[in-house]
Amino acid sequence: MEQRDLVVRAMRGDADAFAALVAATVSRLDGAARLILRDPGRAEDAVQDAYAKAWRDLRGLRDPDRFEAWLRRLVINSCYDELRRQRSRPIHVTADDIEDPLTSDSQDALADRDALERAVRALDADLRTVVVLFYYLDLPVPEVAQAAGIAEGTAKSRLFRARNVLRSALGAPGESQRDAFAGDRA
Amino acid sequence: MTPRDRVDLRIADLLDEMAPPRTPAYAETIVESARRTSQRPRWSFASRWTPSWITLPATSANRVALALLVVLLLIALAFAAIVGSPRRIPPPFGPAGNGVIVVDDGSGIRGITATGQAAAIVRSTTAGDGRPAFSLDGERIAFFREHDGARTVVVTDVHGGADREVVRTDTPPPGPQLSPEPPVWSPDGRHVAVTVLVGPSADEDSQIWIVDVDSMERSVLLPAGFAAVETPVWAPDGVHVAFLGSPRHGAVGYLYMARRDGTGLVQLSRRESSGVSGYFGPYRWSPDGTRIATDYGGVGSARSVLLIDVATHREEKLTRDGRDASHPSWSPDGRSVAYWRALRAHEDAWQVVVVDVATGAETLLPELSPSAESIVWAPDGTQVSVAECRPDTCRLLLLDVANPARAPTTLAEIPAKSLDQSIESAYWSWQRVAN
Repeated sequence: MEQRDLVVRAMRGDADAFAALVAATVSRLDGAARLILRDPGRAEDAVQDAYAKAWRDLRGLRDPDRFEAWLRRLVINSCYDELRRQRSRPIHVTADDIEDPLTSDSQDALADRDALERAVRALDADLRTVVVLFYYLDLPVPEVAQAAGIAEGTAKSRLFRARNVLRSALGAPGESQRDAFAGDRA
Repeated sequence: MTPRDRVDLRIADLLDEMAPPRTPAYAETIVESARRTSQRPRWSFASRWTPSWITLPATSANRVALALLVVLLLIALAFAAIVGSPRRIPPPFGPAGNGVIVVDDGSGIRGITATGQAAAIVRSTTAGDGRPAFSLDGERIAFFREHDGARTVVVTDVHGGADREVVRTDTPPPGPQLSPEPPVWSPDGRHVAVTVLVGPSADEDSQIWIVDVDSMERSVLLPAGFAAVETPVWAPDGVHVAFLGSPRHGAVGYLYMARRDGTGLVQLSRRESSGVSGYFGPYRWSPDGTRIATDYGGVGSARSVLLIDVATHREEKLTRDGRDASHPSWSPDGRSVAYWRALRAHEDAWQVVVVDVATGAETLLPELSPSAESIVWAPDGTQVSVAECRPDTCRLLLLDVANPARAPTTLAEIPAKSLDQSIESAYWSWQRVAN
C-alpha cells in the first residue's frame, strides 16, 4: 500500500496503518538517533518520544505526503531535547555501539576506518546531526536544513566544517567551500 | 581515487557500519503505546488553516545572549515591582472567598466542597451535561449539553430554578455546531461566549457567538474578512475578547483580541498558530487585564510559557530551560502564574510550578504523573486544583501553594474524557464568593 494511503488511514486513527508506517521508518531513524546521541538508551527514548508525538498529533499534519519529513523533524528535535538533558550526564558508550571492525586486507584501511569513526564520534552535536542527515539518511541539503530546523546556508556551512574535520582525521587535504558543494545532491 | 573521493565514500559506508539499520526491539512498544493512546482531534488543530507545508526559519541557540537578556529582564521587572504602582484589579477579579466546586463527572455535573464532600448545589444527572463554568459572581452556572442530536448551552441559578437553554444548535453540518468547550462568562455575568463550527463538514470555519443569557440575544464576533475565529477568552474590562483567528480561509492562525462586536481588531502575537510552526495552548488574561499568559510550541519541540503584554505585544518567556511547560493560570491577585512543567524527557512526571512574575521566584508543588491539564486556582489564591489523569480516570487534587511540601488532597475521582471528543480530560469550575 502506498505510504500516503497509510498516512491517511493512520490520521483517522488506524493503529495498524500506523504500525506499518513505524515498520517502514523506524530502522533508519533509530540508527540516526544512535549516531547523533551516541547512546542507544537515549536514542531509544528519543525515538519513542518522537513516534508518540507523531501518533498523537498526526491529525494536524496537513499534507500526508510530507509525513516522513515531518517525522524526521520530530526525531531530530527529540534528539536535541536529549542532548540538552545529556550535557550534565556522562555519555555511556557501550561495546555494542562499536561494530566489529572490518576484516580488511589492509592495516591502513583499518586504521583509516578507526580514525574516521573516532572523528565522527568526536564531532559536536550540530555537526554530527547534519552529517547523519546527509550521509546516513541520504537527504539533500534542503531536506537536511528542514530536518535540523536550520537555514540551508547553515546546513551547508556545517557540512563543510564537518567534512574538513573528517578529512583531517584521514590526513586528506581540506577543500574550499565552493568545491565542497559542487556535487550536492539536488 | 583522490583523498577527497575516499572520504566522501567512506563517511556514508562508515555510518552504515556504525549503525546498521535494524528494526529495534522497542518498535512493538511504539505500536502498542499508540493503540492505547488517543489522537488529538482534528478540530483542535489550528493547522487546518495552513494551506501548505511551511518551512521553519533557522533558529539559533545563542544561550549566552538569551541568559543575559533574561537577567536584564528580571532586573527590569524587579525595578518595576519596586518603583511601579500596583495595577488596579477591576471587580469581580482579585482574591475572593472559596465556594463550591462543580465537576463534570461523566454522568452529569455535581458539586463538591473544597474538602471533597458532596455540596448542596444545583446539579445535573444527565450524562450529556458537562463542561461547567461558574459566573464570576458565583450566582450562575453555564454548561454544555449534548442530547438527542442537539448541542446546547444551558444556564442555571445556583440557588435553584429551571435550566434555560441560551444557545442551541441542532442541525447536522452544514448547519452550525457548538464546539464542546466550556462556555466563557463575561465579567459582568450577563453574557457567555462560545465557539461555533460552521461550514460543510463543521470542521473548516468557526465563529464566536456572544449571547445575552437573560434576553438570549445573540451577536457574532467575526472580524471583517475573517474565515475562522475560536476559543474566546473574555478580558477583565468586559469589552475585549482574546481569540485565535484566521484572517482568511486556509491561512495560518494568529492570536488576536477585539471588541465583542469584532471591531478594534489587534493582533497580539506574530507567532503563527499552525501544526507546522507551532500552536498556542490555553491563554488567560491577567486579573488587571494588562497581560495574557499562554504556552506555545511546535510539533516535536518543548512548549514554553509566555506572557504577552497586551499594549506593547512584547513577550516574556517564563520558562527558559527547555523543559515542556504548559497551561499557565494567573493567581487571583495577579502576582503569580501557575503552570505545568515536565521533570524529565518522558511526559509521565510533571509538577506545578508557581512563579512570582515580578521576581521570578519559583514554588515547586508535588510531583505528579498526569498529562498536563488545566490548573484552576482557589478563589482565595492559597491553593490550586489540578487533574491527575490516567487513560480512564482523573483525580481532582488540591495542592497547597503556601505549604508546597504538603501532600495533595484528593477531591474527587472522575472518568477521564476521551481525547477524541475533548481537548482536556477533565472539566471543573470553582465558585467565587464574598470574603
